[in-house]
Amino acid sequence: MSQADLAAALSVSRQTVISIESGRYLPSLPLAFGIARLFSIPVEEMFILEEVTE
Amino acid sequence: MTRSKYSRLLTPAVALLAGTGIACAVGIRQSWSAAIASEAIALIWATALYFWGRSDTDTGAVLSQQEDERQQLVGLKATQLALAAVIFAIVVVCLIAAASKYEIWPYQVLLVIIGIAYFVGMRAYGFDGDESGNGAAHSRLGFPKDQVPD
Repeated sequence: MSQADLAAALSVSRQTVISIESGRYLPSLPLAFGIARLFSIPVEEMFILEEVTE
Repeated sequence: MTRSKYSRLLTPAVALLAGTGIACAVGIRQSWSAAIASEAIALIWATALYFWGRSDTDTGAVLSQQEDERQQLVGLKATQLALAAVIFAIVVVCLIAAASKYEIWPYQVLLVIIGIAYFVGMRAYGFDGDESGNGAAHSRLGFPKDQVPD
């Protein structure tokens, strides 16, 4: 699946897909669930929360 | 992301309308040749905005009202920066006007309008109440029924 296909399936822009892939943008919960649902895997497997230490 | 096929015309239409208003004011108070020049600039600007809005970029998406959630955030940050620049410019021009003994009330009116709009926005979009979060029926995403936090 290309970035453009994924963007079209999620109703977002190709730039947003690229930003999520590169970790520059954290998707909203509805979008995160939409991505996980599209790939038929649980959302916590699709996204890993990295603990940020200050 | 996609709203309607006419939504991409909104930004150019608003720019053209504002430009036409300015051109009319210039025509009435100054000269109609200056008004025609002003209208031509507005037309060129509106056309540029339309074609810019068709580009496959974040700016294009925001200009054509076709933005997704990330692009809305980008648009908001850009608007915030533009507003900060406008406020800074108003304050500088106001100081210059005051030092030159020109009237400063138009600048004060602008600053008051911006201030009022800010608090209206905070009131409209913010949430200051102590309403319980159990009203998940209003949202598309909520806690499972048996795991609603106290």
